[in-house]
Amino acid sequence: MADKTAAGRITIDPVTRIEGHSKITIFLNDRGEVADAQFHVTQFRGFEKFCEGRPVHEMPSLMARICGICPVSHLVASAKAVDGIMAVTPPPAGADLRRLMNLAQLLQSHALSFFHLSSPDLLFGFEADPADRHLYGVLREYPTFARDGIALRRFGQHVIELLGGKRIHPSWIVPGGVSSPLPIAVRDEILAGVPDATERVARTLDWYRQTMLRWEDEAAFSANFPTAFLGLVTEDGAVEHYDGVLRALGPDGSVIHDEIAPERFGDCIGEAVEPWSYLKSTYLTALGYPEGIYRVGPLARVNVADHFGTPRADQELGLLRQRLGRYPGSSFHFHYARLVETLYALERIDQLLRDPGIMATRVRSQAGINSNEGIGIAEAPRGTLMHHYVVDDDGLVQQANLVIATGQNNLAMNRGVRQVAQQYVKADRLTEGMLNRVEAVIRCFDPCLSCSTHAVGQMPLHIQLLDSTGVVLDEVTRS
Amino acid sequence: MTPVPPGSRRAVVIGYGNPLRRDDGVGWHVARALAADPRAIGLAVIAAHQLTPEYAEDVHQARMTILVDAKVDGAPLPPGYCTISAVEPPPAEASASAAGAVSSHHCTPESLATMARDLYGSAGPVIVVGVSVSSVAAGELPTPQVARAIPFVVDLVLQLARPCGAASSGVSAVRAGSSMITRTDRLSKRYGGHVALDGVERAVP
Repeated sequence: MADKTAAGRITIDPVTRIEGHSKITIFLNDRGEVADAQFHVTQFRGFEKFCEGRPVHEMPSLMARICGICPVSHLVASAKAVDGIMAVTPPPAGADLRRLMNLAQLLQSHALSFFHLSSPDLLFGFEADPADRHLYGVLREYPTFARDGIALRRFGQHVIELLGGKRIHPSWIVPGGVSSPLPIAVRDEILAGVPDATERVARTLDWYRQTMLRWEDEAAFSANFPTAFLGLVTEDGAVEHYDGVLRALGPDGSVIHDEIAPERFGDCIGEAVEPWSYLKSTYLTALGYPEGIYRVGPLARVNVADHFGTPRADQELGLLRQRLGRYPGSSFHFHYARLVETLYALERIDQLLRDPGIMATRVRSQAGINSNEGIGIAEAPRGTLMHHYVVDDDGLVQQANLVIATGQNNLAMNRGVRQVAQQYVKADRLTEGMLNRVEAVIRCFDPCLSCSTHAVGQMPLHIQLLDSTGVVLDEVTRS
Repeated sequence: MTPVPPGSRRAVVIGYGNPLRRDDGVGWHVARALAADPRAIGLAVIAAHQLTPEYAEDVHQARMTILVDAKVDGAPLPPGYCTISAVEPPPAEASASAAGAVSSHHCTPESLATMARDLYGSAGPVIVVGVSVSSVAAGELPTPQVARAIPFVVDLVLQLARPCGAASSGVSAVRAGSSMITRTDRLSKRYGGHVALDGVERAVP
């Protein structure tokens, strides 16, 4: 730290169009070249600490409050952890209904990430005037595109509301299953909306495939490096978001871990803490720290899985691999993977709802405290999410550890910021294009800092450029 | 999710706010109360934490949109008082200036109305009922003053929605760009030919 500080640094504080608060510091060497970068998460929330002493059955509802974008993922992972403590298996319909809501959340969250947050860069270009490069600009210049994004997010939110009564922080997923069965009218209403949503995703995918050559240069420097990837897969290697086993592959597809049961995740994953961020850095213990860098999320899921298991998503996956290879390494391709996964989510929602078993009225298993420890793992929109609780014999939480997707991507985001800075920071002045690219590389990962630090408010942007003696050469602040 | 032709709904009421921040959630509480009120049959009622772009289509499809929010800015009023304002989206050529108010997470009433118009082609009148607050500190319940006002705000919204099927000719008196203030605790059964209910102190430009 000391030599880096002495050598000079650039600070971006806050980073915009992501979920939460952070800043970026870019360190320069004495030749004025980028030597390193740090992605600081400057908010602290402390859910792991203040839930200690709470009855474990409260945990799903408490944990859902971590985030307004992906509360369902926390509900799912938390409820699964409590399932483990209660030693219960949810009835099949209960499990499928949890799965259904998780997919709806993936749909709305991916729509937010792609259309609302990232599409201004893709549509207007990374050097475009920020006065035009924003959501309203998309609405004005690309209204069909904007309507598709809004409609997709709206549909995902609507499904969550139909199932859980609220589009944000529903409490329908409970330990042992879900709190109520699926009404026929709700099933039919969701099914009726799937074709329109599918058409919108397919249209966007067509556009993306036809346009992606335009972003080849960006992709080359958007966290484009070899790392491992981690995600849940089914027994036959399909993408899995609710159950399954953990698989970690190297950048060339070599197996690092496979068929790791969720309760054994601690055997593979370590968490490191750096003094400059509230965000923990997660790594694969087999490779050590920080060499155990890995990525999670849509691109990781596409890479670790053999297939999606639904016809249209598998067809799109084939096209993706044809264009990018079997194990794409640039984090820019999170965008593409996110779109394919959105298509998958819609197909899977349709499949689940057409299975008569989902209408079963037995949707919850009941039990008391039968174990002092429980682990729940699910795939959140941003990547693999782990909740690990230890309780006393009365079911009061003694210890909680949350391993969040954004933390698992932390090492890769840091390295990604360094890579893009090395490419675009060439002088002692900060430019808008450089600023935006540094932010954009982070947006590829769709980080959720509210989740990962357990903040209130929005993220401002502050960049400082310091020379090798620590003198500020340039400074940019956004509110 | 089948598209609904513009104007096919009578009115949409979106009550929004954070119910975990005491009076900030008054709009949310009003929407919940309204949703359970048999007099609101025919209205589309949405309880939300924030206005987001996803509601633009609802605004587009409504003959009238009534937004109910906590009023935390402007001239201070006693808790529970309401201001009623008609939203006037900027001219189309000036829409870009509204951009700063549109984000993935929330919209202002003006930006929502602008989006509804620019993205979907048209929108009915948009009215904002702002309820003056006492406290927006952490807490699940509104303050007693604001809690007492909620039934009256529900009545007020129903009166405003009357031209669209729920009640009389209230909204016609709210001119675009103008605001009115009413004391909700003085609402009575005597409604005049405009939204000025019994006990209205004054209209402000």
